[in-house]
Amino acid sequence: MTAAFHSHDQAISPHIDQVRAQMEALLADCSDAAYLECMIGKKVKGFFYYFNGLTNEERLNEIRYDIADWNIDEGSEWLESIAQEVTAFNCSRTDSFTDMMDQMTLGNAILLVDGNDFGYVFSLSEWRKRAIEDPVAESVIRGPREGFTESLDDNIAMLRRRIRKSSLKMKGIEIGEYTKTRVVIGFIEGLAAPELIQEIEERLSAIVIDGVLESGNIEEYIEDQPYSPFPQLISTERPDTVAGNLLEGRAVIFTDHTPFALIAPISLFSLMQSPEDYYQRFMISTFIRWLRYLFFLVALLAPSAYVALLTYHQEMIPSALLLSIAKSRESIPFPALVEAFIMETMFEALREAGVRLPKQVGAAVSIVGALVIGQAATSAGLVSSPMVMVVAITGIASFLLPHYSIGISIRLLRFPIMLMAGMLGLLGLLIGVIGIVIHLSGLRSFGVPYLSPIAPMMVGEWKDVVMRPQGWLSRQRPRLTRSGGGFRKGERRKNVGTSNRRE
Amino acid sequence: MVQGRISAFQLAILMFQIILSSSVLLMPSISTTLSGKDMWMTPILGSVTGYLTIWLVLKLHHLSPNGSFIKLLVGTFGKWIGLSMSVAFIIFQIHILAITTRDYGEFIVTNFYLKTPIQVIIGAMLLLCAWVVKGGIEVMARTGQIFIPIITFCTLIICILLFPELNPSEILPMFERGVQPIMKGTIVVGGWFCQVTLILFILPLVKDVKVFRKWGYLTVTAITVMMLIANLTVFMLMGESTAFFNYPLFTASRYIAYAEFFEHVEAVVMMVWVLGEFFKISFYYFVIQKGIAETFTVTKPAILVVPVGLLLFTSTFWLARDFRMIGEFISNAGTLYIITGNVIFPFLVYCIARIKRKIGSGQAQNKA
Repeated sequence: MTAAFHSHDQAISPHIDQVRAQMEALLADCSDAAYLECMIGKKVKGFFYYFNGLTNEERLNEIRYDIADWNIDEGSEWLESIAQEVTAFNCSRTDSFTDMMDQMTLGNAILLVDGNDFGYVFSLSEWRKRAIEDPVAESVIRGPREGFTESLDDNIAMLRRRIRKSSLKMKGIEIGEYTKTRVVIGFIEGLAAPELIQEIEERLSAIVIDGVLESGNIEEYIEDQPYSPFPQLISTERPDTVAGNLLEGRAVIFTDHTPFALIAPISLFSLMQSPEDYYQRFMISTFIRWLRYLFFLVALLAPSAYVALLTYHQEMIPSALLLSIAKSRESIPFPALVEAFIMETMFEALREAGVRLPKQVGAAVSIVGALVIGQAATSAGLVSSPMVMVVAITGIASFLLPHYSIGISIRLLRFPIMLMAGMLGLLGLLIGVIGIVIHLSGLRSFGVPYLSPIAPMMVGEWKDVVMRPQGWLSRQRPRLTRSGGGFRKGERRKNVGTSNRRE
Repeated sequence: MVQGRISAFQLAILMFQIILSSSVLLMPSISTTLSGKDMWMTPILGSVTGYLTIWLVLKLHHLSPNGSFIKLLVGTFGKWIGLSMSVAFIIFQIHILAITTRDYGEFIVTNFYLKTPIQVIIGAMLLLCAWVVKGGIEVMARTGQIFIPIITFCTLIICILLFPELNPSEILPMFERGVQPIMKGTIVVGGWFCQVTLILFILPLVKDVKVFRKWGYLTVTAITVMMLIANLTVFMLMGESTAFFNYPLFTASRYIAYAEFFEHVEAVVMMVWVLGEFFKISFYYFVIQKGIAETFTVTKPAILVVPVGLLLFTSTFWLARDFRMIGEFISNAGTLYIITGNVIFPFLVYCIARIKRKIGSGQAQNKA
């Protein structure tokens, strides 16, 4: 008998006591499940079921007293009257236990009434949420200070407030056998290519997985090339970044319970851009973009170039510098390659420790870290001071990139290139770089070549790569394969107003 | 393997690099030996071969069914003769590639990595090439779009940095020894230009073949200009002693010294050359792989990447006992050999195919 009660497929019994037994069996051992008894019109027995903490209990109590005062017609008519009265609330009907459980886990309350073989769902979901705060991982000097939170609805609302057009579409889908996580694809109809949206939907609905706890779980399943060190979607917690990308014809994937939204498709160059670029003066942003490109190369190649030059091409180092390097390396027992490996590994370990450690211990780590990487290591004769400098510069350089995900990929790629440089000098370094470029040339993000607009070449879009063009200069939207691109609204800036006119 | 397609412009960039990669480094020495002070004229005259080859290749492409040269051979000469001709043509290309690869390896080993075995240098390069060939022509073209501008820029920078050291009077008097030496040098330069024939295999993969005529001729012009710049720079710097060096531009780069610290940029020249050779070898590699796949109708060309790579690796060493043998071959029979294979053979095929088609259509008319 109990086995039958556990089945979600059974019919809802019209007898209230039987339904209670059915519900109790389903909710056995769910200590957070609660029920409230009520008498509709002081005549008909009913039960509210809900989960503690997910439902607005005050409002539920009000409803409970409300329905006790209803006038219910005598005789067989009362069934219809309940149905009529109940629609006055934000309420719908449900016919199966499966649906009922779904609604309860969403925070809604279920009302079961004697004599009905269905239940009513009251939308009363309400739970504690984190307030909207500064985005922690992507801070800017100038720009909006709000970041996404763990609540999907809040995140969507933040976006909807920014793009106030009905053409901003949100398609919902549920992923995860157990978590039933809500995932929403957002895009602007008319700007995003329909094929792109279709492809994202296809890839998302193909996911079969127990649980989705963070957008990273999804990212793994939908990216084009899972065996690549490079991120093929941007994850961001900034609504303005998302809005900007939607306006360029991209799509966003929100996941419930995480502040990180995914943006697709992207290219390597969109990972090098920060939303702040567009808020600063264009010359300054252009300068900063160049700085980023430079330090992208530094982060990737500095230690390997140092190893290669010091091991194989000493003649390329100016003699005065070479002498001082030689002097500081005199007492070092390791070859440059080993030295570089020790220091880079040490740096990565310190960085990771800095992220993980509780705030109270953080200060201790930075002191110890400074000693390990700095003065003490040098005076102990483990590493030379030029090596310390190279590692420090490399470390700084990798944090210059506005997206953490690309920074970490190049930090990882640094090690194989270092090994190549240690074996074959500059030739090895070059082989490593060619290898990376071959890989990047073949990589795509939802059909968009990863190195576009440089390769394949789309000269029209270079403006946004080599500089940060002023608004009226960048009217062409990016051509994200297949989608038409098209032009943005806008004309050349006009000098309006009297004070601008020359006498 | 997704057999990607590329644009005419992308093919033009690749073509630009496969001709230039070895010629900029090797040519000045050979053309000085043959043409003396007038060596700088050889690229200009030699470019005629380039234009002719482009014309010939486009003609052949239009004649070929589905643009496949091998199908044209089979269609014209019958199955067995046609297939054996295509096998011979591919073996010829493998031979040329083996010479190029060996040359690259010897350059690196003799100038930089004296103790590293040449097998490592060549093996590493072929591995990279195999990777890009596996990715397909599209990946190769994109890699080219990233690197080839950098290569060209670096080559030009080296020439510009040498500017203060140049002595323009080196090239005077002109026509010192008459026209004959110039013609000899021109033929050698033609030996480089005729490698354009390789694109015969790539043209079917080009999205907009119609505009390739323009891009092809433009590329030959651009190659000529680059060769001219390199030749003039080297010759004005070293005069007739250019002939004594194997890699004159490399030697020339040793003259660069600025502000007491910007000197010894030979390693940069090496890197530029390695990049250039990477494209040349992978382009040949791709063509050979595609040629074999078409000849033996292999449905999945990707499975050929590793076997072809091994064949190339070993043929690089079967080629000759030492580099001197290769050098002798290049300077004696090499030019005629490469021109025969890359220009005269396709030209004969073109003539015979045309005649056969004429006769064929004549017969068809007679029957009607």
